[in-house]
Amino acid sequence: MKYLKNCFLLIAIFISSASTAVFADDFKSEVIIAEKDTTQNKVVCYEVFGMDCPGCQSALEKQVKKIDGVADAKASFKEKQVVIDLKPDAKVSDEEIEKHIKKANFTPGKKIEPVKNEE
Amino acid sequence: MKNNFVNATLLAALFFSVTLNLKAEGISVDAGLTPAQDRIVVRLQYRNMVTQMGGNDVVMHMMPLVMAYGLTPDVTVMLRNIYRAVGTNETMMEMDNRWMDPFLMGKVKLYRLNARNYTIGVAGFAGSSFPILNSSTSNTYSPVVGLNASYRPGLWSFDLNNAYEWVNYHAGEKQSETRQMQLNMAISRNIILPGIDNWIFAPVQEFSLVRNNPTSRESQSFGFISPGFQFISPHVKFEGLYQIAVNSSQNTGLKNGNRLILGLRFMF
Repeated sequence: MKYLKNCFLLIAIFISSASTAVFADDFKSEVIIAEKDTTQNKVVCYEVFGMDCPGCQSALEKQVKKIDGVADAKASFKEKQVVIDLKPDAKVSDEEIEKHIKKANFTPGKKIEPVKNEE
Repeated sequence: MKNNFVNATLLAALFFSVTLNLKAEGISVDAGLTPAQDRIVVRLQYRNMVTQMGGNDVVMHMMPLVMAYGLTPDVTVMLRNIYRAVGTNETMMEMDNRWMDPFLMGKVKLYRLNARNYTIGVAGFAGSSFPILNSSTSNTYSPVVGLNASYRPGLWSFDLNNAYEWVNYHAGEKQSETRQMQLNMAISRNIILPGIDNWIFAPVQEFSLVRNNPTSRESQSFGFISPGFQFISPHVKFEGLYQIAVNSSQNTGLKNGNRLILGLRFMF
C-alpha cells in the first residue's frame, strides 16, 4: 500500500514538473513572440516603372538602401516593384522613398501589397 | 621619298581606320537611358580586329577600359582608355603596344518616360580624346557630339545612337583629318532563364554605319552587321558580339575584316 502511495506521489511529481516545463516553454515562446513583435521590421512595397533588367534592380536597391531607417530593399523588374524593410521605429516618409526611386531614374507608382515571386 | 610618303599615308590611314572603329558601337544598349545617381559602371572589353592592306593582315587586340559614374540622375561622366596590343603585322609599318589617348565624355538626360509597359529615353552626349599620353602622333583631339535614344517595350530593347566626330582634330591648324557620321542601332530581347533567379539572357543584333566626310565628294560609307548576346545579373554583365564587315573596302586601300568583341561589365 505504501509502495502504491509512493508510486502515485512519484507520478504526480513527474506530471507536475512536466506540465510546469511545458507551460514554461509556452510562456517563454509567448515572450519571444511578444519581443519579436516589438522588434519586427515594417515592410512596405511600391510599384516602380522603368526597370527592365536585373541591373536596374541593383541600381534601385542601392538608392533605396541609402535612406536612413531602411534595413534592406529588394527590387524586382519582373514584378515591377520594390519591397522595403524598415528598421523598427523608423520614420521614413513616402516622399523620401519616392525621391530615392526617382534618383535611380525610375518612376514610383502606388504603395501596394508585396507580390511574391512563385518561380 | 615616294615610298616614305606612301608609307606615311598608309600608316595614317590605318591609324585612322583603327581609331574610328573604337567608338561606342559594339554592345551599345542603355544608349538613351542615363544610369542612377552614384551608379558606378566598370566595363572591360577585348576586341579582336583584323585590317587588310594589299593582302597583308594586321591583327590587333584592343582592350578598352571604361569607367562611368552617375553624377546626378541626369548627368553621367565616362572615362575610356584603350590598350592596344599588336598581334600579327604583315605590313612594313611599325606599330607598338601602348595605351591610346584617354577619352572623356559626358551624357545628359534630355527626356525620359517610365510608363507601366514601356520606357522611352533620349540623351545627348559630348566628349573628346585628349593627347595627354603623347600616343597621338600629331597631338590631336577627337571631339564628338551625339544623340542617343532608347525604347523599351516590355522585354524588348531598341537603341539608336547617332554621333558626329571630328577625327584627329589638330588645334593648331584648326582642322580635322576627317569628319565622320556614325549611326548605330541595337535590338535585343530579354529572356528570363528558368531556374536561375536574377539572371537573364539577351540575344542582341546591332547594325552600324559609318560615313566619312559626309558633306564632301570624298564621302564613303562602310558598316557592320553584328549578332551578339548578353548575360545580365544585378551586378555583372557578360557580352559578346561578332561584327561582320559590310562594304569593307575603303578608298584608302584598306579593307576591314570581321571583328570579335567580348566584354565584362561590373555595376555597383
